[in-house]
Amino acid sequence: MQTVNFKLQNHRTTGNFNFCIFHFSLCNATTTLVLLLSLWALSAIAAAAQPDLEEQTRAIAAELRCPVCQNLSVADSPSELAQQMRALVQEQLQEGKSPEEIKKFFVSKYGDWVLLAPPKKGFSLLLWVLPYTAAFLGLVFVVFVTRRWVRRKQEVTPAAAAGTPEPGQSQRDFLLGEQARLDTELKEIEFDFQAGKLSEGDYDGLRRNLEAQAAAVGKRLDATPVFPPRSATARAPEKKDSAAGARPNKRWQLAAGGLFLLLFGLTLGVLLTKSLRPRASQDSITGDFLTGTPSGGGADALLAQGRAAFEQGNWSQAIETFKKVLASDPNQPEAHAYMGLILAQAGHLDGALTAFDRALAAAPNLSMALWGKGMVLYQTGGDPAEARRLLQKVSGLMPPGPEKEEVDKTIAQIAQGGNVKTPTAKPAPPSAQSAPAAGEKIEGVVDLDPKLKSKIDGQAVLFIIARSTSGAGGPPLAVKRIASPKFPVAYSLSAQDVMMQGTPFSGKVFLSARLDKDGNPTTKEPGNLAGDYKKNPVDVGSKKIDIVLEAAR
Amino acid sequence: MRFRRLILTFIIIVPLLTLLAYGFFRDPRYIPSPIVGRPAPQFTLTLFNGEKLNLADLRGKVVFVNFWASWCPPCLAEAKELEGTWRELKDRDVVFVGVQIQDTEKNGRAFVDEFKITYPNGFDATSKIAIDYGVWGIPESFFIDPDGRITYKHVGGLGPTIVAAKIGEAKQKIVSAKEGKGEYQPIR
Amino acid sequence: MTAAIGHTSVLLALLLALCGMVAPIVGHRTGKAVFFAGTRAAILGQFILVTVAALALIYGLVTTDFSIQYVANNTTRATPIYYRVTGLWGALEGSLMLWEWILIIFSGLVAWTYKDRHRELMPWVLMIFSIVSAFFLGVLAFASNPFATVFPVPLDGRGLNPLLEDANMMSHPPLLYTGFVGLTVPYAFAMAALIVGKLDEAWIVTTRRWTITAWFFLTMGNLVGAYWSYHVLGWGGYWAWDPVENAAFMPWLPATAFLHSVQVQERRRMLKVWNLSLIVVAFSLTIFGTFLTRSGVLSSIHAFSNGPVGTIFLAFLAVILLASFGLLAYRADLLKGQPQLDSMVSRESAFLLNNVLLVSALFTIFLGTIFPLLSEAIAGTPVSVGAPYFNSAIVPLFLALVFLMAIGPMIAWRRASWDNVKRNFLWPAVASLIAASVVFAGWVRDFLPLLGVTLCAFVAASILFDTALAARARRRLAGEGIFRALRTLASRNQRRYGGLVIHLGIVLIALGIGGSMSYSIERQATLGRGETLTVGNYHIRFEGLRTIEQPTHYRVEGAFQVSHGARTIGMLSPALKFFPNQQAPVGRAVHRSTFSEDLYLILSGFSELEKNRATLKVLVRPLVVWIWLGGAVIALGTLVAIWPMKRKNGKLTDES
Repeated sequence: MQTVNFKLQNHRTTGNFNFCIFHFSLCNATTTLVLLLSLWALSAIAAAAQPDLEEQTRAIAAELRCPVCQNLSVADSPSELAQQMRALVQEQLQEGKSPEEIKKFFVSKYGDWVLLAPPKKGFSLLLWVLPYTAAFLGLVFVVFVTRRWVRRKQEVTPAAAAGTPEPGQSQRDFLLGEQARLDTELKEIEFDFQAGKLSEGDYDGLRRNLEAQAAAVGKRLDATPVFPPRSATARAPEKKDSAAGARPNKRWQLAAGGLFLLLFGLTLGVLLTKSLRPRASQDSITGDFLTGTPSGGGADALLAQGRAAFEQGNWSQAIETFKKVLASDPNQPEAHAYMGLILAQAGHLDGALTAFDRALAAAPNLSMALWGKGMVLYQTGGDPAEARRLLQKVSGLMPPGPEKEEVDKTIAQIAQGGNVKTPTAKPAPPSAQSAPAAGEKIEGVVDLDPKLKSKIDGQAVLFIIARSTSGAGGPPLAVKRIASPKFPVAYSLSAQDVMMQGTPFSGKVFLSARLDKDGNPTTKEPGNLAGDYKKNPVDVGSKKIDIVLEAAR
Repeated sequence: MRFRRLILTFIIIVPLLTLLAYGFFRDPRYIPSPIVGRPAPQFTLTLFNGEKLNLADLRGKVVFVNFWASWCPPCLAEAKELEGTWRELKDRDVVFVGVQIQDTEKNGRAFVDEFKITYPNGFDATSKIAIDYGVWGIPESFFIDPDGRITYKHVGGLGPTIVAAKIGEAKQKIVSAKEGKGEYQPIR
Repeated sequence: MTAAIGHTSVLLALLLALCGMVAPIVGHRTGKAVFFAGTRAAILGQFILVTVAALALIYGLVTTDFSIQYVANNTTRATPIYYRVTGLWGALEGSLMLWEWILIIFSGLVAWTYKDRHRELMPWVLMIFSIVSAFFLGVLAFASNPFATVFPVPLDGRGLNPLLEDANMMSHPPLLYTGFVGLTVPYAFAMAALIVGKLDEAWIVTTRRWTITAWFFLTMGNLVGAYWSYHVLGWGGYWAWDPVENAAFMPWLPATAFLHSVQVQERRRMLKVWNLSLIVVAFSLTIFGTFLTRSGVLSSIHAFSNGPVGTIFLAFLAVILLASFGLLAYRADLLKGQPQLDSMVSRESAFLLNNVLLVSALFTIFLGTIFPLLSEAIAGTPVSVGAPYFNSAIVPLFLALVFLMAIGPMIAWRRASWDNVKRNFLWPAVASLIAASVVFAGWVRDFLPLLGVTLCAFVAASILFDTALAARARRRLAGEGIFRALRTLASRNQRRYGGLVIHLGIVLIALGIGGSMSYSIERQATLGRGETLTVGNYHIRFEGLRTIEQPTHYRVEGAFQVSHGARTIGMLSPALKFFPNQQAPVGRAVHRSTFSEDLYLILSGFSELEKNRATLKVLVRPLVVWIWLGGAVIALGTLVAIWPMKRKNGKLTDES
């Protein structure tokens, strides 16, 4: 109150006008506040319309957490379980249960976890209470501290208020900084006064204070020498000195250093590049260089050749190359593994097993060999337990993806003693035999019209498409993608290849095939080939569904 | 003074880091079940053969309830073994019940035919039974003792050893302290 | 070959980073200047090498070099080129490469900009950059190598996650990472100042523009992320309070607090320890965010893979926190000023209040994010903390902040005269009352939204009123016309007017959030062909399904004819996209935005195509567009704030 009176007096001396403004402001400010408050109160009372069933369901679902998604509420989640939970909520609402009872029901089934906001009891109470407590404490702290700072200000004279330089700052720099700061502040309060934020009295008071401070600073500035003594508080003057003195030397030292670094880097880079090789198995990426295992210098190139031949299906060439590798390094595990795969492909299963064993003797974690041996054991029916063990080991080594899924499926099938499944992904070519379960697959061969054989391209991708209707309506039922096919290509279409998981692969389907040059089935380039099965529709479970690619479209 | 401030900084920061490190040891998506040790929720399941199975009727026997779907690899992996275990334990006051969820009935029948499953199986179309049991992953298995209390829950595939062991415990009405975990995947 | 180049560059850069870490220390010990110059050379060398590595990875992606594991996992032959490039940040290893690249670009810029200034600080600043860079390079070289090769080379890759195939994917991560990395700049300077012991304000003034720029990118990154979530994810929302979203938002709060309280430090040489703490907290939160995303410690829709990377990030976070706060505690006595204030009602105290509110908000969000862990560790019960909690806890704090935005400009520095404050309060209050009444009469009858609208109107009116008064003062002083006056005001008080424009942007965002949170309508129905669903004033008629083939997927679209009242609006076609490698289809919602509301259509499902039945979810969300408009206004305000202005005497200064 005292301050107000003082100000009132001040205003009276300057004229009635200001007093009127003051009075006007206060009255109107109060009125405004009162009106606003009543408006808000009115709104609080204004009853909202009774929400309908769907809105109520949604409101409750928005507070429940979907157990299968990541952090989504049951209201927002598209998953099947969420939809079923929403249906359950709606049902319980229709039975007359209250939202609390419904939430309690779900908590009794899934625990407190299912509520998106933790219950306000027990340890979780902390979560509800702490933020506001922290904000409140912060507020109290700020008020307390500001009051102390204001009081301190009132006890200090303008001259002493100038302060001391920072550690690391020279006296002169500090004073110059202070001068600039006070200058800015003076301009600012003048502006604030003009803009109506400061009253005249306050402005006068502040201005006088600041001008006094500026005068004090000015006096001290005149007293300090222009070039401060070397023993200033700055911490790094010696470096500055030596930097100044060493400047002519610095440049060529830098250049020399840079050149040395560059040469060092280049050498290191070259050495590293030479020694790093693609990780073929679990052995070290630096291969021979750092671990010291000997390597035949040319063996790597030969191996690469052999691999290439294998990929292209050029078995005889591949066998030749790998034999050469083994001639120089009889224990080369990869070469053995590839030999094993080729032998298995050709039907020489015993020979294949020997080759795999040799490969595994040299590299026990070579995935190719593990996989190959596992598959052979499985197909011969010789030792399913061992097969399963090997395949599980391979699966453990593989990154998640379609290849791993294939292996896992095979493991599962071994577990149930089911049929051999032909794999489609790397690292091995599909094996010949398969005993399809009834109603599960479609098999056949896709071949090229002899007239068009020349038109194919190395990068082409073959799509085998099964649709449930004859038209082009909708996504196909299943699609199989075979990259760089070698005609004639044997294919097998099954439930694994359906577009939408869970769709049953059964009944009648329309088969067609398309060879696309750039792997993009929607772009039409010249040279894309297509063909339909002549006797569409077919039943799932049919074999010998052979398609000929005969049209360019 | 300096030392004290350093200590203070440590005291605040280190527990925070420990808490974050603790996070590595738990699976944030795992939902522990509140119904283990409690009475099993009642349900009526319409089996594939048309009959209705009431859990209440099975009082006095040990009940093994298994939630599965035909598209889930761990379910495929465990199916044959479960059937094998069932055939062994069939006559000893034990009942196996399979509940198929989030699938189609057609697939369920095909699955049962494929694995030649003889214990009762039915399709829970609205997942009400699953929600009643707080199911969030498949496969999930529950062991219920003769008094109707749930003694053990296992999330994931089961092998015959665990099944036999837990059935033994259920017969003696021992409630397991921890849930079990095998290979599972979340339901859709 | 590409992989070898990339990997080698990373290793060499790591070597240089280690040199850069050590050089200033050696230089300090021996006193030889060459080591300090060496730090700069190390940074520039890293810049070249990391750029080479990043370009190598991009090259590998664009040419679909599937011998590189990362390329094989993130592209296919069919992926269009622009998505191949965005594959750079599509998965863990690449995103770390992007982070390191942006970091080294910033370091290089800082090294180049200040080559002749701040001689004592610079070597240490660059050392800090080298330390952070060495960490990321170490992770890139050994723990999560983007150049790991795969053998045998697959014939085709697995492709980008279909959710990421969107235009916003091209901007959101780079913007956000730039914001995160940008905060390293003030952090490095702060640490350097603490190490050297040179604790005046010079470095703060110098790094002002960097901090505002980093803040700007952080804001934009978060807003684009929200837009992406709204536009692409198809659940109709823009912010889910997901742990990773919170982690991206949390650094923004201390950064904003810093931008305000640093003005107090510049004027009154107070709050030094507080400001340094804010910077350290902001930077630590960026590392914490990366840790959360990559460790799998909390369940999140954004989370990348698990693995050793999480532990490594936690270790780095530990080092940063302990070292920074330790250093701060150690040097704190040097920082004790003689804080004084002229009055309890002043801009300084308003800024202190602002800081309290922002830090409380930070505390709330942080507590909520780690609370599941805490609850499980201490109480043994797992709980979830989601949108309902955060909304209820944060809204009061943000409303208080909005109120503060309104009265802040009214209060002068040093001492505010009560009468003037009251007078300046009056007219905006009246304006907000009028606005509130209009809104009450028209649409809004609930308390919280009405309060929000009133406060936003209050802020807008207060800013306009303040500018009007200032312009009038200008005219009185210098006789300038109104536009001239505004220009002079803006150029002489860049930060102030830039800040006011930014506040207007925030107000627009607040209005948008308030409107869409409070008054959204949602309806779901299964429609046959020709059937209509009515939501609010909209009539939506289902016309049928159709399918389209795209390079990487098939789409099933539902065609819906929409009309509003009597007027026909047109066809909207939400879709479901089927990708060959994915189990479930990815939804593609469509929305039609006007200034007053958004109509949002989601195709939840459909029956077999012959039957032509579709399940449609419709959302009507008011005022969503204003959120994005607010973002644009913030961008404008930032430009005003940091635009380099030449002064008559040739020096680059600005006054407030």
